[in-house]
Amino acid sequence: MVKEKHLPWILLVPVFVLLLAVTIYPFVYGIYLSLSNYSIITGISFRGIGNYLDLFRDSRFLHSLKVTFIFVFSAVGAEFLVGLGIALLLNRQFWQKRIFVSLIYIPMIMAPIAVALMWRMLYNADYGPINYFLLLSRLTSRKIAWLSESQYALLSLIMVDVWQWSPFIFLVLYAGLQSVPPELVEAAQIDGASRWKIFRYLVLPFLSPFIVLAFLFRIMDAFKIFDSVAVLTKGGPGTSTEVVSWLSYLTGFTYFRLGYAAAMSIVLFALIMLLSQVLLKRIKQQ
Amino acid sequence: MKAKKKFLVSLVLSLILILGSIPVFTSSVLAKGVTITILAGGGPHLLSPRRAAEIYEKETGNKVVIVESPHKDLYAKALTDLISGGRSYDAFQFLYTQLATFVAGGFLRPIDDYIQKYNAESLFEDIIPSMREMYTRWGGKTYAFVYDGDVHSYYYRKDLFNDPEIKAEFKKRFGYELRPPATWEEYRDISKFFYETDYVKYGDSELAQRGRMYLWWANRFFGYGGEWFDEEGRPAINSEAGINALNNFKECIKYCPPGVLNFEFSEHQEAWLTGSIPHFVQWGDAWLDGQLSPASKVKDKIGIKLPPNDVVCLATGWAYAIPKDAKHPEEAFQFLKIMTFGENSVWAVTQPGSGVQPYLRKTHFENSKVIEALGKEFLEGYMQCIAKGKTDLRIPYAAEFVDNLDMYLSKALAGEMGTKEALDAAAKKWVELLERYFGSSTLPVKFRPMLRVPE
Repeated sequence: MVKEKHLPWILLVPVFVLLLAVTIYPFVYGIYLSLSNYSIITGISFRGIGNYLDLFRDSRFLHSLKVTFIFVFSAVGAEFLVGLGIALLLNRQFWQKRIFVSLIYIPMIMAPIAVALMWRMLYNADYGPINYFLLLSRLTSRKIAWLSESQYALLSLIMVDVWQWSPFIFLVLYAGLQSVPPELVEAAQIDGASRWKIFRYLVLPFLSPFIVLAFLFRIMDAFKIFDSVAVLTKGGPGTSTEVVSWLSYLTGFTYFRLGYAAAMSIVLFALIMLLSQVLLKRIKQQ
Repeated sequence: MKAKKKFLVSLVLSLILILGSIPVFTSSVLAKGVTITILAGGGPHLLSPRRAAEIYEKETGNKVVIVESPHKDLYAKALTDLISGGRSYDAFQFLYTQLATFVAGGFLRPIDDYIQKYNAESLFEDIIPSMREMYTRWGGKTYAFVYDGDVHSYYYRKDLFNDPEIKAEFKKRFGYELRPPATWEEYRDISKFFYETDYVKYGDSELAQRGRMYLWWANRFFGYGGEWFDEEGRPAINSEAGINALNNFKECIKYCPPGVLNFEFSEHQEAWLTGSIPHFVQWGDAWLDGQLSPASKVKDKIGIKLPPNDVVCLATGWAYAIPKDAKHPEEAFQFLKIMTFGENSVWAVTQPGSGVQPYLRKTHFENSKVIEALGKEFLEGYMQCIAKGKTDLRIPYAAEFVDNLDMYLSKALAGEMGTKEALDAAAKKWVELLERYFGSSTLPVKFRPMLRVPE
């Protein structure tokens, strides 16, 4: 008979072995690589923190970091506004509400590559529907090259991300809205509180942990953006959409400077961890 | 005690479960005889390996597993496997410019002994000597098979260029006859003319997305007399030729379809096949698909010529090699011999959409089936381009050199940097790479001959 106190540990063994094989070992090896110099021809040699020092002198990496931050905060910010707006809009009873809610989820469950390919067609400067409607409605007088004009390329990637992931924010905030006791809202209405005041002082405090949670997930995910860059812009034109994950991929798998690429990934990981900790602390406080 | 035993049993079972799951993915391909695994480029490039696999399997009783990969990932997949010692592939597809890196890293198996053993000398001698040297040999040894002999050519619409009305209008405007351009300035004029008139939708197309757009700059660069490095081995991409080439490239972009800075092969080719442009520079697919594809709107209207200034870049071009630690090198050699020579190669060259052009093989240019399918005009034009071709950057670590060049060119085309500023920055980066990899700010003497097409 297995002692009851040992049973949880025994049950955890398969998961632990899997974690060790597919997460912990690669991560530790990644740290080791980031402290090494790897050359296709001469092999691997220990370099200490040299790669990290080089990174912070590398204008291309610093630029990619800037592009990544602009992308993450613009995309997640816009997703929050859209997601919250839809959640508030649908937080009432109306005919066939379930169908609307289900339809909103669709972008979120699509494969990122499929989404990027779809948007590649939508953005096509010559025959894409976006330009067609913009020209038709006279909002523009020329065909905009969404993916190949520096001033629009990053915006285009942000729009794809907002389209795909606003439903996630909606999902979390919609669940949060269900937790607001209706009797409190009714009481506030009877007392003559305006809609804004009800939202600001009643709904928002209830929603706050959900907002932080949604931000946490989305920020962690948005930092890793890769698929849409690979399909839509390849980091171009120029370096206008060169995010850290794309530069890290190029450095690792085109230049085969594996140590340097690993250092980039570790820096990105550290940044994500830092932001996550700030947000998690916020959740705990609440 | 019992708990400890159970713990150990669980641990062992877990390991068995994990390790046991690995062969599950491969057991389906393990049949009787030897199974060889080939890493091949996806899409059209799979037609020839698949057909060759059928022939090989019938002849030998062995099995061929073809692992498909997007072309842009072939280098990374092959190199990752070679570095990690995965021994996943018995042969793999790569660009001829990457041969130097693979050989310098000691990853490839020389095949001279197999060539001798299987009396394949005459087959290799059939390859145009200069191309045989570039695609298959390094340091006096043979390492590879030529698969897809690529070169850029200038393609134009004969119906437009021979139209008396168009010719007269062009002459009135530019003061000289409309003809395939002799210089890149004439190329620009023709692009401008067709862009500003209504005979076709646009004036030009360029493959200008980041990644391999440097090749479209390189054609111009060579046309203006440029060389990758000067005689002392210093980067010469920011020379006057480089600046002229980039300025011309920038000007021509204005006459292309909108969004051209994001054009890769398919968009570039589509602009041609849909009849939207009067001329462009492209691989042989422009002729093959233009003549043989049912969707083509340019069938029987295509002319081929050397690009302006009668010089061109021997852009990309695919080969196959066998890794040093391949599990079945001899079987892989036999398979590649069937695939890249003889009947299968003729079939592939004459197959619409196969993505392969004449394998730089002398007999391909004399074969009646090839002549019938492709026409003498194409073969002669193609041969001319090969004869006048200048090599793509063929040195170790070439991928990093050209990607950095490509990035700065893209910045200039996007208006993020000025022409000279971008090329100076690219040259500076090249010096940095030379110092990092070769310990000198100049290209080592031993690599300089690799940048000349062998006699």
